[in-house]
Amino acid sequence: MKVYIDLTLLPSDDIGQNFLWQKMFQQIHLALAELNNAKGVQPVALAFPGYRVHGLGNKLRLMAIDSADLHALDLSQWLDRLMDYVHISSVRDVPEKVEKYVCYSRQRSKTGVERLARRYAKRHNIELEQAMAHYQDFQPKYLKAPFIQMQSLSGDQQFRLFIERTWCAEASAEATADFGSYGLGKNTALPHF
Amino acid sequence: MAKKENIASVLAFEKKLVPSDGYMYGTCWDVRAEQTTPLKLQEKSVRGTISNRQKPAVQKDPAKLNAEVEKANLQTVDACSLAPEQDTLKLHFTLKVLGGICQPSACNNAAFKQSYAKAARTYIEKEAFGELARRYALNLANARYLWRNRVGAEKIEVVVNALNGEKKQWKFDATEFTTRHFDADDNQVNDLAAHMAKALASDDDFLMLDICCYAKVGKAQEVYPSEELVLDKGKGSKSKVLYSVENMAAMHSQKLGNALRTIDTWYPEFTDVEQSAGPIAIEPFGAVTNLGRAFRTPKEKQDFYSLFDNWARGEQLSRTEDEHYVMAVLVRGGVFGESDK
Repeated sequence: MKVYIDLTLLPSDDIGQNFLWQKMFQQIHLALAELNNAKGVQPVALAFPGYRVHGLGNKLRLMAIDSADLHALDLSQWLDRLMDYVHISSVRDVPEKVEKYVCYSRQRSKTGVERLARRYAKRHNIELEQAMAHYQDFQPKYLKAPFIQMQSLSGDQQFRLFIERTWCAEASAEATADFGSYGLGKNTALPHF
Repeated sequence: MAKKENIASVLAFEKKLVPSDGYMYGTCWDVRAEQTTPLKLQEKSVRGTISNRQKPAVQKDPAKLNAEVEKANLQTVDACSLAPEQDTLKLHFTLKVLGGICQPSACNNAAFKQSYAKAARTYIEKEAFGELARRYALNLANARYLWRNRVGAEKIEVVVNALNGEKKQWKFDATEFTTRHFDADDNQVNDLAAHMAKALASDDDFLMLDICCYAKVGKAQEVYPSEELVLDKGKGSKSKVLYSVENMAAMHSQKLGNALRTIDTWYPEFTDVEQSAGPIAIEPFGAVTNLGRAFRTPKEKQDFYSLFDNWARGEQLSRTEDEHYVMAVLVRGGVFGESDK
């Protein structure tokens, strides 16, 4: 990664950090999806420099190899109605010497038996009933990772986007990486600074 | 230090900006002035997960911890949202602006009362409440009092009507006014400010304003009335209770008042990018409860009492901003007596 933009949340009385994450991330997700549609791949990765056990901190970092991709996102347009609550930095260069590398990925909870069964049925090409039987003694596992409360745009559903952080020894080849509309990738180590 | 023989142990000021409760209606943007329906609260039962940190005793026992976090967390909460066909929230309230700041509502020391009145008159002669009124007017125009409903709203219109004296109306596009600073110079705002300043600087005059604020938040979106502080949570009862008046979702007058007096950009850390909380509400110790911080501590002599005690006894404050702040706390009102022991 060569360039980045930092978005800083500006919480205040009553308008808390988690609430702002929810509002901002919805817009970021749309911006990334748009870029994905336009280019066929989505080359912008998200990082969370303030990531802690119990929260994501107050910064979202957008990273790319080509600064043109960050400009193409047109963040000030997407965040136009949030400008009083989010600060957008200019496009900056990633420091040349970075000691740590990190990977942010989405974690799916294993709590809904039906969702798991549907997936199992599809994967093993069997009936849903059989798959349900497979999960008979299922114990839900709850996640502890920090999350962003999301509202599904297709339905009225609320869900949690859990984000996991793993430290990596060194940077990975990233030229062809595709980070999807959430900007998360399991296999790409990003510079941490 | 001024001499302290003139101590008022009983000293109180009435608030000079008096908002009503804010009532919430749903409407559509195109017919917002004509058709509105009161918003009602809905009760929701949701199944959450246990996500709070567990007690140490539970944490140490793996079996217990698993049993504990695997329980579903059933809750009943209040919620409020627009009807499926509505896309706009209307918030309606009135605001009374009162004069007579030179007279405390209670004061038991004649010498103090006299020196205070003199200091207040000097301020009015010099500033005529211009700066404070301009900031209050900007907070009406920028719709800060929508609080969370303001975040991400596509369009926001504010219509202010004067109900007494000269019949006047002001209209603002709130999205043109930021909540981060007070640098804007706008004719409409300045005119509204002039009316408010006149009332504040007067001896016994007042101004009555009616405020209708329309925010296009999107079809069927959730809106946020005030949350009631529930002190006595019985088991199984509702965990989130929202404020309503006669079945209509509403915002507390205190919350509207707090937004209107969020004009303090004069505290020491305001200019510090990392530490700043942006404009904060006028409070004697600059307390911001959500951040769990006070930005004006007695240690740094930036709190109201440190400044007021000297100023009211005839001393000059070193900065005009400090005078603005002291006067703004008096506009807020409160009980400020000091111990005479």
